[in-house]
Amino acid sequence: MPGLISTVRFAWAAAGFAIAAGVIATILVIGLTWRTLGAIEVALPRIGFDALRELNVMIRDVTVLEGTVELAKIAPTSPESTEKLQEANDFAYIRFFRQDFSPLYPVFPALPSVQERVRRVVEEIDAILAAGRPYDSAVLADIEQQLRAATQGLSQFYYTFGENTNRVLLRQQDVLSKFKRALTLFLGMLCTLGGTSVALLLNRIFVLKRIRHISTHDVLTGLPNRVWFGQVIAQMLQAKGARPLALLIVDLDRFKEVNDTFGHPVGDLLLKEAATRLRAAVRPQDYVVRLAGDEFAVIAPDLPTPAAAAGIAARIVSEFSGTVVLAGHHIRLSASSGVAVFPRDGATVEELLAHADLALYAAKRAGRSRFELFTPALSDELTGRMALESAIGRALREHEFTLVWQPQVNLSSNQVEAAEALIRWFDLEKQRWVPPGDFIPVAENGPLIREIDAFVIRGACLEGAAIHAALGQPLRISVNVSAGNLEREEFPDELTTILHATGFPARSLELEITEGMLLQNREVSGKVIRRLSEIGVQLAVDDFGTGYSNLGYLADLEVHRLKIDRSFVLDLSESSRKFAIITAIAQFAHSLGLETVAEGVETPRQLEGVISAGCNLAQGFLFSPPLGAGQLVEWCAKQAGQKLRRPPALRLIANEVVRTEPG
Amino acid sequence: MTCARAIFAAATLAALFSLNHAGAENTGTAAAATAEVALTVLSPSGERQLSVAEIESLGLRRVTTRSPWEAGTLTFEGVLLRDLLRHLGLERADSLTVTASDDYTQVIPNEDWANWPLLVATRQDGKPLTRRTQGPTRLVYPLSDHPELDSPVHKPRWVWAISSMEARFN
Repeated sequence: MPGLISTVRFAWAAAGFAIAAGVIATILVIGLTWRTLGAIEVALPRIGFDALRELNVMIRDVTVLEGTVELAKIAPTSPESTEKLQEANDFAYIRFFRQDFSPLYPVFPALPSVQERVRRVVEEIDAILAAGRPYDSAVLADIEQQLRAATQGLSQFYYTFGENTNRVLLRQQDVLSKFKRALTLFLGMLCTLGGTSVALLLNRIFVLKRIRHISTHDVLTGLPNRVWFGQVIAQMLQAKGARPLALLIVDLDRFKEVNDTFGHPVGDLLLKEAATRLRAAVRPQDYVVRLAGDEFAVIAPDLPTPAAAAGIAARIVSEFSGTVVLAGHHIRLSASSGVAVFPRDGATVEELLAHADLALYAAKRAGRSRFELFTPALSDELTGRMALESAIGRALREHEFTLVWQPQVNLSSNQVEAAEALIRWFDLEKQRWVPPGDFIPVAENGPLIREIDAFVIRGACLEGAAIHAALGQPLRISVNVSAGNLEREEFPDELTTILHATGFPARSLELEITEGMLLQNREVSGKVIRRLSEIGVQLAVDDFGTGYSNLGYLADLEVHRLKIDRSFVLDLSESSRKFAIITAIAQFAHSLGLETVAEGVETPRQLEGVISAGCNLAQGFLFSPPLGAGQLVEWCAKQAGQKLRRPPALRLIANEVVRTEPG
Repeated sequence: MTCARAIFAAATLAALFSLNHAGAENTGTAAAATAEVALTVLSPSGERQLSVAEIESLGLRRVTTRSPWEAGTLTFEGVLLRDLLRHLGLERADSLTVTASDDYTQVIPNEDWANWPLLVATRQDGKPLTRRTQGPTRLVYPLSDHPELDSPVHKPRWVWAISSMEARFN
């Protein structure tokens, strides 16, 4: 861009210079022309020609007359000489008496005296002729003298004037040739300026085209950009009788991670690769646009039916699969897409964009590497989801979340061995309890789940420390951790910080994770789990038996407990098969050196079942519903049949019982 | 041309002698000029000699005009050049080469007599033209009536003391 700006500046500066130079050159040409014309338009040459001609005939007439006077002197008695003298005198009379030479006086001031002299001679000759032959030679000689003097006077001026005229003409010729050269030069300059102007104009057109291209295209991928998109799609939507048009928003999955892990140069390569693949996936008449960052749009016009958009989206998603090698790194390629179809899903660009975005959001939430078509239901759902997300954010800020505890009982010693911390949310704004099943899945799709986890772990450690103090003996506390945290390498360090801050012993903390979490992104989560083991934290596999049947992770990772999912316990009495499964899990866990926890034990029969199946621990309403920390301490004391060493006078615990639990 | 000049000279001589050298300016010559040959007209078909009387018989016209050669306003009488040429069957000539007795020569193009009433003057202020008054015939361009004739192009065509005219057809 700096190069471009300087080009534009240069073009303007040069254009200004060309205009100024053109004006100056024109003024100079006009001035020079006037000066030259003024110099040439001296009247002298024309007067000069007239004067020279008149002088010539005057000199001729006087010379002829002089000759005839000479003839009369030689032959004073010849009638022929008389006749010649008479004729010459007549012409001299015409010239010097009748013709008007006054226009010549300004250039030839001596002319009147010459005229006067010749006139006198003419009159004298008339007198001689009247007197008759023979003529007095003395008088004739005197006349001859007079005429010679007149001839001399005329000739002198004639030659002087002639040379002067010549000089003026030469000077004019000189001026003219200089003018010719100057004019050639100036016209050359003007032509050059004109040429330069045309060149600048062409350059400007080129630069403007380039600017337009740059302003409407993405430099990295060469694809049109958002500006271009805005212009073109608006035109396409305005076109009358247009067939359905699909707007697809395509977003690379986990692009930020690629950027963070491999650096921006690799990220840029990935974007280029994405642009290439997108172009390969769409139809020839479709447009691919880079909207921003890793977000692309595809405009698919002239669809036979709105449903045809799904085909294009499916091709795009399948094009983004597997790994690609960029700068030596193997990078998993995956993209999600949201589709909105004009006019069904929106009449304006804004609406289409918003709806395609919603569909994209849905695709991302549904697990990425897939596409979603926009539906009005999606819109409603997402609107509700977004409202919920903002409510969760508020709840975190306003401390609306609280913890409750559900005890786990050791089935062989019949002692309370542990308690699971569970989150509860009383929405102050709506004045109601929100079940965790409603807000946890929503939070899990965004960054909020980390904050919730942090709150739960920190709160559990704080309350756990208080409970320890109140009971005077360690009680293992169990906390649920979300998938997002297991994929963050900094999570173990954060956990250490919390443990230090709360003074809660790591060996008494158990983190509950699900099977699915262990299988996703195994490399990173495996590393995180090993770090957590190093810290001394125990691990339990939550909801065991409902996830994947791949048990390989149990060999690799240091897990302490399996929590058998409540669905196996729920109808234990009716199903001998479920009993067989629980027994098998318990035996298999024992052979691995793991303990088993039966969840959701609500009846004595279920308790009998899990005991005979060989489970080590059980939790459920049969023992206790989730309790506040203070209630838990009391409950534990009652179970142990012993008095509390000291009352649970902790502020934190007191707060727990302000609100009662639903159900 | 020399032939014409000789004839003219002879005619003048005869006139001069017949008048016995009257000293007055032009009284005697005027009377003689009416009978003598004043103008020789040459053409491809031959030669024609005209006296002032013959010329004037075509009908006199009067023209009052400025002159590029003389001061003041002059009044001439004479015949139109085009009438004279028509009389001689030469009005379609392309040009007329007019020569004076001092050998001054001009070529008058056809357009001049076709477009303007050029006068072959024989009299000035009622008096017949003599050699002293630029006669016996002179060509007059009526400048006052036709200012466009007041130009450096037409100025030299005021031939006086005409001795001959030669009609040319291209």
